[in-house]
Parts: sequence; structure tokens; C-alpha cells
Amino acid sequence: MINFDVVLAGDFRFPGGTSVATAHEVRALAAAGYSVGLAQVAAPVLKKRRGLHPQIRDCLDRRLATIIPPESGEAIQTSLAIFHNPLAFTAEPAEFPRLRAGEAIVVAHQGAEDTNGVPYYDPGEVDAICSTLAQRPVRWAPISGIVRDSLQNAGGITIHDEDWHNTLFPEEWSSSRSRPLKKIPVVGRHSRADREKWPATRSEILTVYPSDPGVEVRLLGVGDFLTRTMGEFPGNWATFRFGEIEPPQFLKSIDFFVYYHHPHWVEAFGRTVAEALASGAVAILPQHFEATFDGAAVYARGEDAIEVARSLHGDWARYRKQSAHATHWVKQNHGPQRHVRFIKALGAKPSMATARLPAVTRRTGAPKAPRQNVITPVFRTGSDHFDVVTIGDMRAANDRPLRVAHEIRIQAGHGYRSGLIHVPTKAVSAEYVRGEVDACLLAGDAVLVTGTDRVRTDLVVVHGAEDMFNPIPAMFPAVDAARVIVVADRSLSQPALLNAHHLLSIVFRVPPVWAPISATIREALLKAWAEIPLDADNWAVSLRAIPWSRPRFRADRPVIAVALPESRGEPAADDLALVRDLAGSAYVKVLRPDVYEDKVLHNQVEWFGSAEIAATKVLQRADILVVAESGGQDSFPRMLVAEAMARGVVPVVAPAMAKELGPGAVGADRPKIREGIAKLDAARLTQLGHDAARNVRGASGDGVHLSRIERLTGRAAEQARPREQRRRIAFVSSNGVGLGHLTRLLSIARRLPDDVEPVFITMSQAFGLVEQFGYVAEYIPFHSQSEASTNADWNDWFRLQFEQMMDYYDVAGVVFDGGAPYAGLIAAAATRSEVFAVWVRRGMWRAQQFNEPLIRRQKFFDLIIEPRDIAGGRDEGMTAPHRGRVAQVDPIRLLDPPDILTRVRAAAELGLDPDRPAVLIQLGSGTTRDVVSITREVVAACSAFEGLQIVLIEWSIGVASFDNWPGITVLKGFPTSRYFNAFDFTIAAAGYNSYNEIISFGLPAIFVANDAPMMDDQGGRAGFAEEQGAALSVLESEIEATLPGLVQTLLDPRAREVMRVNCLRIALDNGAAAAAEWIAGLLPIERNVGATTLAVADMRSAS
Amino acid sequence: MSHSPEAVLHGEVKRLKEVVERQFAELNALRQMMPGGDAPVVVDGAPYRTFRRSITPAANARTARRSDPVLWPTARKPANPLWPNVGFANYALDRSGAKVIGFAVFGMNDQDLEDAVKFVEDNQRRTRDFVPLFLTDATTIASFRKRGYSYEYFPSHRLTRSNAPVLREYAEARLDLVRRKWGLAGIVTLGESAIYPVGPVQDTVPAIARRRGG
Repeated sequence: MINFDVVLAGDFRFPGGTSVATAHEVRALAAAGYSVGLAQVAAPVLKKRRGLHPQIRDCLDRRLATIIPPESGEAIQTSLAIFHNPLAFTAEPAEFPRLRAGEAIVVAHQGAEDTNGVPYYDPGEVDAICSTLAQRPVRWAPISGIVRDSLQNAGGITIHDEDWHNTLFPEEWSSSRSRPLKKIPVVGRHSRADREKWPATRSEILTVYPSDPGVEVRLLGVGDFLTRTMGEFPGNWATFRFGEIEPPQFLKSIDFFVYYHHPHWVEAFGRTVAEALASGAVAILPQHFEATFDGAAVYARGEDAIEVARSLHGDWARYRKQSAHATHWVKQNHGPQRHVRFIKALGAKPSMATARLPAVTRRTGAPKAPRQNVITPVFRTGSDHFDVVTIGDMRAANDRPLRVAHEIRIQAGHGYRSGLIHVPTKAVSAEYVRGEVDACLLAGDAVLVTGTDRVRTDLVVVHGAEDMFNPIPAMFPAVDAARVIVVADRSLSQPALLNAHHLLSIVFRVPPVWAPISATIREALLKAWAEIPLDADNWAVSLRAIPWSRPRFRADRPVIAVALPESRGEPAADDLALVRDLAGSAYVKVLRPDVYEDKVLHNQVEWFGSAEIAATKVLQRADILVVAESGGQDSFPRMLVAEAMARGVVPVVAPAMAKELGPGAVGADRPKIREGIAKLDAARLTQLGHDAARNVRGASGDGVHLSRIERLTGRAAEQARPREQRRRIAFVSSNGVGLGHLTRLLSIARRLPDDVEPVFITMSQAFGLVEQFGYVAEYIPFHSQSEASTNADWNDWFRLQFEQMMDYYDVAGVVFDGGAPYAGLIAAAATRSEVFAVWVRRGMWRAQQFNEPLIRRQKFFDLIIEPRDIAGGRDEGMTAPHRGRVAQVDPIRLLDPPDILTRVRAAAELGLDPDRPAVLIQLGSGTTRDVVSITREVVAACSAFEGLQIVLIEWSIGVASFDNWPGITVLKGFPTSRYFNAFDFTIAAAGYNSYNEIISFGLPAIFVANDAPMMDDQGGRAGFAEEQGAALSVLESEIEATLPGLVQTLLDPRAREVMRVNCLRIALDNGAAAAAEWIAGLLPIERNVGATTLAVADMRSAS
Repeated sequence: MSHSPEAVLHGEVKRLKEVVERQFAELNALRQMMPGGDAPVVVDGAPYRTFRRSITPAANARTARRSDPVLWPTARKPANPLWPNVGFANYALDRSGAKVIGFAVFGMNDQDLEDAVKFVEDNQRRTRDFVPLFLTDATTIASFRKRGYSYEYFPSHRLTRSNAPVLREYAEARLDLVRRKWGLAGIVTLGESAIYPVGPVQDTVPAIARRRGG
């Protein structure tokens, strides 16, 4: 038996990216000490006779891998078999080595079909062939999100959780980008010459690569298609055939890599793009590449590409920033170390003690020498050592906590250990630390350092130094710091600067260096104190990768978030006027330091105090962010604006700030804000949102902070700390008088995608039903279980207990069904920026009920789902005016018609005679009315009809037991609607679930509405059904007198048939699946790409 | 004797509580005297168990939380312990002199659970110096409900992976929270000693059952 650590199988004659990628993997694996075998197969798709790809041949020549003879009869043992490119395995090869693989992966370099749905290969067939060759089941690893999406619907294959990482050696591609190559932009591209790699028509080609002396166009990969399509090439083009010059040399000769291909072509990954990025050329690409390259490239429509290039060419500082970000991104996500980690995670370990290092990889693997301009860290090890310790007042209502939260998350995501010191100051009057920073501690991304601790760190970062140590804290941890950076986010006077500087020097025994957040602040600091020690770089905004999960739901008017100044107390009159003015044509969400309620326009305006909710949750639901700041640079909320832009929210700011922010921002002086917004139609708003997101995700990504931390600590970023992908949702139901809330949640949960795990956290004592459905159920006793305690105490404990459960299950979202979202629930969920909150709220609230305070709590939810009511036309309750901002779905029902038992089977299970009439009595749990007395009257009325079989439902959480009721059948269990066909009619309460089930399943009914004041409008429902000829109804007080006549009517089959027809006429579909789709759509789709977790747009249905 | 409105109201509440207590006792007695011959047929519908899914503790699970009014002030306030409901049988019990005792009744079948709760109720009637708070892993909670007792449910995690250390950590954190939430003076273990039992997945679906009520 022959052993290899890894066996790569494929057709290594492929001329393009597949073979190049494979060769790079061989080099990475060999360098890491793996023995690599290559199993060559002949791909049916390759018709021409070809030799092995030169780079594969080179690997063999250098003995980095060994070709396994296919005819070898000897068994090949390997930890991991990798089948490269499904196109090589669309037919079973005539010969193949006898593999015994511990694990087997099919690397999907290409999706299963093109954009027209034309298949490239059949995943099922390829899976079967590869499984046969590996002699074990295989898993699929797509090389990008695009390929993953294409495979999602392929049945019968198992897709690995993580994408495959195309590997390249960035050092081999890098080139200096210190200045433009020429006075005019030099754009170019490199690809195979095939038709699909080019725009479809001559005119489209010339749009992207224009005939224009103001631009130089260089094309590597020109072939028959382009020659035929173009005829004569424009004079500003320089063209090279595929392979004519080495790609690294070619990429050095262009500033911009502009790559647009045929509209029907699905570019699975784009290796040439990654190579261009590694070279430092700025890539300008169509939008769909964003899912693959995120902020590493710039995205534009074809017709805008050259203009984008011109713009960047004219602003070289911006070009260099983008270029640096791109090279860093490639290193993190596609460097050889990333690939080796991936292979190790698949269970393959290197067997060779000394790696055979090719020269180029030896450089890659060598430890990084400290830069000369960096102080070599003094402290390197020890449990009390942090790479970075951040200090500030984490209660501040301004930008600082947001900045801290992002930077900590970036550090944690790249292996830096972070400490956090909270120093309360007089300047901040807020009571509590911001939820965004608290979330960092909860996630374990930072450790809280407090009074008596003694820690060592490479770097201390101080925020808000001017207010620090006022008052002097009673206890302050001992911090041995190698370097102290003070982030200056506002201009300060010389005394304030000197005071802070000296104080920090004393505390840390290291002279601090100041890092202004902008050029303007830098200028102001220098003006105040000419000798101030300043860091060379500004402390620019840097955002961690933000999952793009904007709700697909759009309200019936724009949603404008307004950030008001930092001032405390009542809002200023002009701020109030601005908010009310905007509310004339939009929903307005106001962010300010303090909680505030404005009674005017309260249906249109929602106010948020900074401690009430994570600001990003407000932004997530907005279309526009208006910054009503008047303090200029000093108080401009840069982080908040960047957060907004990254989410595609258009900032409307003072013209000077709009200019500074760049694409996507709108400038308007304060008096003209409304006018400016009015000019933004839906299309313009969408375009600006995309511009804003691209702008910020590109220029203010995590690379900005990573680079400076690497520079300041002298330590390179490491592998991201793996985090489990959260696809778990907490379904929370209130106590309820019946089972309605719990039933609706169960209805939704059972229709979620298979990879989403529901966890029920309920106050209903029917939690056992949830376990019967196979879901985990947690129970929090409702306030009624502690009737001698106050509501406030109950809510405080609810929050603690609920948070404990949220943390344990690590939920990504909370879905609440109930009439009153509890204060404890809101406090727990609203401050967590990464946990979405949904309120499932049925309508038909009673018009007389004063529930406005409850309705106002809707502002804390990311989405409100309202299941329609068949009697919805009668809805005059408090929720009706809010329809424009809720997602409506059809009535939510647990069961669908196929779930209902036949009459014969249902009757058999209940012990009934199917040939005799039967009535089902379901009058509710009895929590809010005297169900025993009503039941007695109803049973008495029914008992008068000889031969009528009476079945009474006893609710699992009902207040009364019917175990002793003589002469009837008592039905327990859940759901009882599956027995509907056993009955000729029902006498029922008109609660939401029962009513909608009865009508939708066409069961003739006599409704006895529950008119208790706290209930929903059951009378309205019963009246509607009666009006439609779909049911009869009787008042509680008239049962004895009226019910016998109604029962007599329903014993007539003709009456029942008419009623059944009318029921089905007004019935609505089941909306549970639609609700599940809304909810699943809020989950971000995250995938790990190298050390950075990227999130891709999830604008699709997740179901 | 005081005749202030507050004192009158207090007296009225006390009298009503005594009425509840007496009527509960009478109802129980009447129920036991009822003849069984004419009792209804009770159908316990089979549970609808089509959608079982497994769930494992999250790798990112955190059960410890730091909150301190100075060092790390969050809106999580140290709330007053809650009072569990006293139960119908002793509804007029004077809380001021009573302790809250936790009774752990894990791993019991329905009959054992009924006996245990009745045992606690009888003792409470005799001593009238404690309020019980039951800690249970049972989903059939009729024994508590019909007596008006409060309880905390600890899911048995039959649906979860059994040997995850984080489960143990969660159990301890959960118990600690429950202790503080209700101000438990102590916990009396009447069932299994494990506070967070982990059992195998119950794959057998109970069949529909018909019985004579009463």
C-alpha cells in the first residue's frame, strides 16, 4: 500500500484557473510538509489533445508531488482525496487508482448551470462517480458563494460548511503602486480568450474598454472572438494573446484591472481578479463580484467603469488605500497558510517533518521581521498579556463606543487579544454602558480589566482622553504598556491637550502619541500645540465586516433615521421642528442620548435613547440617515454614518461633510434637508445606497484597523477565531389565555429551512407541546406565577433569565408572539445589534382597548409580521393604522389540508361512529370566562338531540378539568384540528386560531364569542362569518334559548353544505410558510473567507 | 381594633383567601366522592411528533455575565426576589413568616410526581411556614397547576448532545439564577439528585389512548 497525506485528482491539462489553482495548492501543501499524490483523469469536456499544464509540470519537476499511475494495482491510502473540478468527473474514468481515503472532497470550481439554467454538469452524477472513486461518500466544497448558491438546490449531495479557498502566493504578484503609471489611467484585463470571458457585443466591449486617447487599454488574452467581433482594434489598445506575456509582468503595467464578461457567463471565482488584487492593481468589476471579493474591489456598472478609474486616478491617496486593502485581503483569504489550515481542518496532517520548501514559499513562511519604525513589544507572553487594551467611558452616547466595538471585533477576528477598561467620567451622564461594547464582552472578544488587575500590553488605545480621570477612579488597574495611542476625535485647547498628555504619561509611564481621526482634527491639534507627538496616520474609521441583511420588507413610505446632537435633556426646538417636518412624508426614527417621547405625530416618529437600542438596529431599517449636527468636525458622528453607509443607508449631511464622505453621501444645509430628500426618488435612493455601501465597505473595511494594529503592535494578524455560524432563532411566546401564540410560532417553526434551529422560550405552561413537536422548550414562569411580586421585579428577572438562555443557545434572532412585548424582553433584545427581533402580531384588537403604549413598543422590532384574519375587514383595532409598516401574511395555521385525518380514521381514533352526527365543542381555556357554566349549557342543548355524539375539547392549560363530565367524550392532546373531519359541526369560541382553522377547513360552526374585555374582537369575527353565511353565532347570554334551534339547523346536511361552501369562499391560504420566509430572510448568510468573516447579501429567500 | 380603609381591605382580602382555601378543599373532597360509572370517555390524542430536530449547545455559548454598578454598569438591575404562588390549599398562608423552599423533583414519573407534590402540600398545610417552588424536568405539570403551585422547568435536554461541558455549566448557572430569582432558603431533593438530567432521545411515539374518566 502506498501512502500520501493528500491525493489531488483531476484533469491537470485544463489550461486556466483550475490547473493554476491546483499547482498553487501543491506548492502550499508541500511547503507545509504534506506528501501529495496526483491522480490524472481525462475530462470528457477536453476534446483537444493537450499536455499537463506547465505549472503542474513544474510541481512534478520539483518533486513537490507525485503522479500516481492510474493502472497501478496497489491501493493508495490517503487522509484526504480532493477531486478538482466536477467537469473532470462527468463520466467515470476508464482507469483510476484504488483509493482508500479518510475524507473526500469535490472542489466545485464552477456552478452546476449558467445564468440561463443550462447545466454544465449534473451534481448528482458527479457525486456518485467521485464517491465510487474515493470508495466513500464525498462532500462538496464550492470555491465561492456563487457556486455554493448554484449547488444549494442540487439534491443528494453534501456541501461542506466552508468554501474552498483558491490559493495564490501574494508575494509573487506584488508591485509598487506609489504613483500612477502614466498621466492617463492605464486599464487592462487578463483572461482566457473565450467568448464568454468578454462582453457580448462590440458596443458593450467599447463601453468598458473605450476607444479614447484619454485612457490606455491593455488586454492580455485576446483571441479569435475579440478579433472577429471588433475588426480593427482602437488605437489606444495594446493587445496580447493568452500566455504571450507573464501575468505578473502584465499586471505591473496597468493601474486598473477592469473585468467585465458575457452576461450569460457565471464566473465562479475569478482567479485572475485575485491575482490582480494581489498585484495591487485596483479592480473595477460588475456588482455581482461583490459576493466574492467584498471590499477588495470597486464595483460599477460597465458604463461607469472608466469614470470610476478616472476618479481614482485623480485621487491617488484613495487609490493607494484601496490597493493596500486589496493586497491585504488577498493575503488573508487566499494565501498559502490559509489553505494549509483548511486542509488540516479536514483531518489531513503533514507526515513529513521537514517541508520541501520552494524558494518562493520559504519567504512566505518566514517569520516577519519587526518594522524599523515599530517599537518591538516588550511583553509577549503570559496570561495577563493583551495585544491591545482599550480605555474609555463606554457609556458615552457619541461615536466612541461604536468605534471601540468595531475595533475590538476586528482585533478578535484576527487573533489579537483585547482588554477593555471602562473609566466613568463626569462628561458622560448616561447610566449604562453601550450595548455594542457589552456585546463584545458577551462574545468573548474582549476581557474586562478592572481595578485590582495587573496587565501587560503592547498597545494602549485611549478614547476621550480630555475627560479621562475626571474624577480620578478609586481603583485603576496597573497597566504596563509598550505604547500608548490617544485617539483624538475633536479639537482641544492647548491646556486640555497638555493636561491629558501629562496625566497619561504618568499613568502609563510611556509618553503617549496622538492619533487624530481626520486631517481637520490633525490640523486643529497642531494649531493648539505645535509640538504634539502625532502618529503618522490618522485614526480613520474602520468597520468590521458587517453582515448585509437588510430586511426585504419596505414600508409604505421612506424611513428616515435622524441623529440629533449630543446635547442632553429635551430636544432643541429647531431639532424638534426638523423631525416633525420630515415626518410629513416619512417614518422618522430619532437617535439621541436621552429617552424622549413626543406626543405629536407619535405614529410617524419613534424616539430612541442611546441606551435603549443598538444604533445599528435603527440604521438597519432606515433608508436615509439625516445628521442634524451643528458642531462640524468635532461632533460629527463618523462611525454612525459609516455604519449607515455600509448598510446602504444614504447619509444626508452638511455639504462639506458630504464631500469628505464621498460617493453615496448627499449634502444639504439644514434648512434644505427636507427639500434635498424630496428630490431623491426610489431609483436614486437605491443607487446612492449602493454607492454608499461600496464606498465605505471599500475604504473603511477592517483592513484599515488591522494595518495600524499590525504596525503599532508589531504583530501580524493571525487566523480568525472560529465562530459557529448561528442559525438558531428563539421563538418566544407570552402566557396567553389559550394556545394561540404558541401555535402560531409552532406553525412558523415547522416551516423554516432545515438548517435553522428553533428554540422555544415560552411563558405558556403548554411548553410540553413544543417538546412533543421535537423542539427544545424553555419555560419562564409568567408574572401570574408570582402574583405577590411587582411587575417591575418580574421584568428584571425575566431579562436576566432570558439573556441567559439567549447566550446559551447563541441565538441570532428573537421572534415574539404576544400582545404585549415585555420590558424585560425588549431590554434583552434591543441592545444586541447582532440579534434581530420580530413581533408576530395578529390584528383584531378591540377598538375600545387602550393599547397605545404596547403598540409603541413596535419600534424595538426589526420586523412586524401580521397574520391576516379572515374577518380582517372588520378590524378597527389599534393595529389597523400601522399596516403600512408591517409585513402581512395570510392567516397562520399549524396544519394544512393533507395533515387532516379522514372522517373514518378520525372517528376511529376518537371512538366515534362515523355514520352518526357528531359535534365538537371547543369553548376555550376558561381563563377569561366561566367556561364550565357555558359548557354545561352547550352540552345540555346538544344532549337533547338523540344520536348526536358530543366531544368536548379540554385544553392542556385550561382552568377546568372535564374528566368527571358524564356522558360525553373528552378530547385532549394537540392539535385537535386534525380530527375535524370526524365532526359535522362545531360549537366554538372565535379566537384567532380556532376561527381561521374552522373557516379554512370548511367545518360548519356555531360561534360563541368570548366578549371578555381583555380579549381580541371575537364578536367581530363571529359576526363576519355569520354575515357571509359561513357560520352561525350565539351570545353567551342566549345559549339556553337560542342554541337548540341552531343545532337543529346544523343537523340538516343541506345547511351544512351551504355553510361549507361559504367557508371555503372566504377562506385564505396558510401564511405560515411566508412568515417563516420573512424570518429566515433576516439571518445573514455568513461564510468564512480566510481570516475574515464576510457576509454576503442575503436578498434572497432563505427557504 | 383598627377600622381604617386599608385595614378593612386587608381583612377582606384575608377572608377571600380563606374562602379560596376552603373551597379548594371542598372541591377535592367532592371529586373523590363522585361515582365513576357515568364518567366520560377521555381520549388522549397522540402527540403530533413529526418534526423532531436535534439541537446542540452553541459552541459560542456564554453563561457568565459581568455586571457591576461601577465597573461595568448595565441596565441589568439586582431585582428583588419573586414570591412563588403559595398554592390553593394554603392560600391564606401568611407570607411574612414563611421561607421559600425549592423542591427538586427531577426524573419522576407522573405518579411519583403527584405523590411528591402532595407530600409537600400536606407538609405545608401542617407547618404553614414555607412556600414551595418546584424544580422539575416534567412536561406534564398538572400536579403543580391544579394546586396553584409555581415551578421552574429545567428541560431534560433529551434533544441535545449529552456530554457537552457547556451543558453542565449552563445547568449550574441556571440553578444559581433560579436560587436568586426566588430567594430560595434551600433546596430539598425529592427526585433524582442530578439537577440537570440528561437522558436519551425518546423515539417512541405514545399511541392514542382512550380511558374512562373520573
